Amino acid sequence: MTIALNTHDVAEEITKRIPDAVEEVSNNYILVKGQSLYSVSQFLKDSPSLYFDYLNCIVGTDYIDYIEVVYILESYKHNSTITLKARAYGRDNPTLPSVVALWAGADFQEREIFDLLGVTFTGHPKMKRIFLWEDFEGYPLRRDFL
Amino acid sequence: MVQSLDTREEIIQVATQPYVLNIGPHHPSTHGVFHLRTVLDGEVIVDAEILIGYLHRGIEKLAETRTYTQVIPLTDRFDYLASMTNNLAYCLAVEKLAGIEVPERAQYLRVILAELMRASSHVMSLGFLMNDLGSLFTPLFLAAREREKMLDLFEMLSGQRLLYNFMRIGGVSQDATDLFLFKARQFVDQMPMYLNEIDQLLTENEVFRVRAEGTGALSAEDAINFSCSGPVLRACGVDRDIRRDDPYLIYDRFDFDVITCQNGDNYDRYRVRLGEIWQSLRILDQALRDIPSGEVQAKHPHFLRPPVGEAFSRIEAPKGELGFYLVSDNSIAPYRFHVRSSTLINLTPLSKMLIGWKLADAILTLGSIDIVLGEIDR
Amino acid sequence: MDAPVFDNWWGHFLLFAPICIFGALTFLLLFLWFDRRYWARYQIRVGPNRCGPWGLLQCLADGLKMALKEDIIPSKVDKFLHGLAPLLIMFPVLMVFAIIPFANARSGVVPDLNIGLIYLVGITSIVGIGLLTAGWASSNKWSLVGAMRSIATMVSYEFPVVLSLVGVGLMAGTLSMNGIVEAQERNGWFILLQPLGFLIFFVGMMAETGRSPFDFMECESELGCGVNTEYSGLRFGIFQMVEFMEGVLMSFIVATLFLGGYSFPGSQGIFPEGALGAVFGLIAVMIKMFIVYIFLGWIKCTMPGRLRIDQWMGFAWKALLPLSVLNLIIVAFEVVAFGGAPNFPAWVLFINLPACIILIMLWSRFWTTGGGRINVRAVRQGHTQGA
Repeated sequence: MTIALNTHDVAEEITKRIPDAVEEVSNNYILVKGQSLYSVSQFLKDSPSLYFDYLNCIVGTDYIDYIEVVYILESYKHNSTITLKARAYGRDNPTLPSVVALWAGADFQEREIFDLLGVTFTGHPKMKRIFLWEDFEGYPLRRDFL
Repeated sequence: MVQSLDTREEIIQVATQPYVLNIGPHHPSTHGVFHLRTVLDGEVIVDAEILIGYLHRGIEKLAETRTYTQVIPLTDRFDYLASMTNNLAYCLAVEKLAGIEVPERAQYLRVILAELMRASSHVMSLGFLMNDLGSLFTPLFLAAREREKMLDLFEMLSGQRLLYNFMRIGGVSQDATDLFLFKARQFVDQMPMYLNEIDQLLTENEVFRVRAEGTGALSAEDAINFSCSGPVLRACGVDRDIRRDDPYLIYDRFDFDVITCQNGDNYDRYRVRLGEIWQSLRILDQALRDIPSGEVQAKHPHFLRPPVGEAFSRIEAPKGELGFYLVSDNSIAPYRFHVRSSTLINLTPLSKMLIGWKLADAILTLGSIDIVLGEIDR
Repeated sequence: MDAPVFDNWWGHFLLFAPICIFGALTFLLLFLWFDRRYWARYQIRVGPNRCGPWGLLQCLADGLKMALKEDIIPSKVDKFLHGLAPLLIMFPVLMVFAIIPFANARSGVVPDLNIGLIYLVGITSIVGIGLLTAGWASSNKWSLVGAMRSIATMVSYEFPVVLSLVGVGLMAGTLSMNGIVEAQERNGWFILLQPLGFLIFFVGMMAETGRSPFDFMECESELGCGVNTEYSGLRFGIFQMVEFMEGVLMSFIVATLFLGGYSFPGSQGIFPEGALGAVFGLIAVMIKMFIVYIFLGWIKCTMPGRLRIDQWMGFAWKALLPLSVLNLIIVAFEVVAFGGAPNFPAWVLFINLPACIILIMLWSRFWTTGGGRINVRAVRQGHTQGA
């Protein structure tokens, strides 16, 4: 049975390593600040007790004030899972750091969020649209698109 | 410039120029409208780039304006060769979100249909893999003959051969008749004959082994790093199956093995899929034996309004790990509907698997990853 | 039907030639019907059975359909070469049919070309030029890849085929096809006397004529129609027809060179001379061709795939070529030992057959297909667009 780890414990561990990274903790997810996303992810991936080596899914949702990107991480060694969230503010050019260097599976999923929601992931080697064509204007999955 | 593995530096080569070849959207062997732009030096692939989006229909946006039950036919159209499992994954996500309990008989029926679907999808993928090798359709016809029997079973239940729209939130839409269960039992008893035939004809065949062994190899660390799942992951040696490690429905009551291989090449992916059909037959045997009687759909309001929150639930679909992420804001339509598409993510290491191999291997590797464009492009 | 009728100029061109051409085309169409029904049986289906009684008119219907389709020529092709290529492929195949002996030359019906083997090898090589022309003239990279593959295959497999043909010529003592059949009449079929030569010739000729599993001319599932991609209408029909004709041609050649052609061992003088004897010979050749074609169709339908192009090349150069050289050496020794062709005893079978088995087992143990992952370096600069 894949265990969803207790988010409060994990948030404590993160805060011990990287203070000021965690913004909010709920029973289901840990919300981290945008700019510390990469360092938190690196800690979660490399720490031997957590060892989240498998990135399951990256989803982006448009809540009008911000765009929230959810990272669902899994650890095959410990058979556990955790949900990490980060918010990108601003409608013109929201950005977040890219985690492709840690988990190469983030490649297409980050391009998809860029394509459909407009969030730019800095550090991604090929940040261009994946489903829609190059000259497409607008970001379809945003709430104000249609 | 391409250098061979024994790096003889003094080879005098005729001046060659790599050229761009589009294994384009129109191609007999790309399993759909899939565009792979390769740069070739002679026959050797030096770079490969994936261009998708030819089948993008905006299903995720469409789902935001439909009720939870109206989204089910949309989910059929993702992996259109395995519609039942798409429906199942979505219904599980909604049930998790809304806290609905599924009755026993419905659980058993769902398992039976999911395993039949897995057998059908794997049989088809084996047939088309042989087609990509160049076998002039003979194994494909044998595979299609077996799949017809499964499609007849599905038609008996849902009236459809391809896009079933059969699962509902809280169960399945109609009860299975005794005739269906009898015919399913007949199918389970007679399928091993076909699997043995395929095993004898293909598994030890020299031509197939020479083409498929070693090509398109992926290591276990790479597979985990690239978030691969399903047969692609298990062929690399990673022992992971959601049915066993994170059981959904009632899979913890059934006894089955997880098939893994070591090398992660095309031959191992073929063997994993063939082995999984055997295990599906095992699960079907147990489920058909133990299915209880009862209701097949839990009661819920017609316009389902789940409480505010979000849910992510995943299943072991034939192609990999298929997950659905739903966000609800207590209205009749989902606020956000996202598919964790197994085949799109399985394609991420494709250029790494192809570089250094030849054009013929590219087609074979693409076929062995077993893509369906509906799920990639949505 | 006496022979002297056809000795006249007008008797030959106005009576004999149209009968032959019409008869040949009808035979080919009917044989194509048989091929499609036979192929369908392997795939658990019936084959054409709607057009005409038992589907016999299906091939005519397909030919008509091809002829009536619009001939789309892309704008960038080299028009002269694009039009020339189907002809370059079709005519050599038709020309080789001329030297196949359907009956004894003494009956006066069939010509006897005394350099038959050289003619055979030379003319079938022109097909390769035709394929290259077709691939180059269609300004399409897929056609070019298909043409390059087909040329490479044809050139590589030319060597083992020619060397095994030299072995046949040595044993018969003559290069003419009629002479080879007469030699088999005396000594026994060459399939038994030179099993290794037969196998090499069979496999090599399958590659030369583009039969599956070496079908680069037919629609390869990898290449999306290969060389034929830019052809439509009747020219595409020519490609399809030539692919089938080459299979029939190969069956005739194997039946003539290795299975005894129009004769059976020791059948000299049994059948009546003249045109009536020609009919018996024709029936014999047809039966043998049929049997060989059944084998070819069997291989085509049941092979689970093709080898990769570099594996084909490796097979030709590293396996077939040395084996054919060894075969030639063995045959040459035997010819010298028995003092020339006509005195060949039939018990050389007991030398050649074990030699064949031993050599093939030796090669299958030590030969590997080769080819692996190539170490590709430093190619990302400037080749991919928009990377």
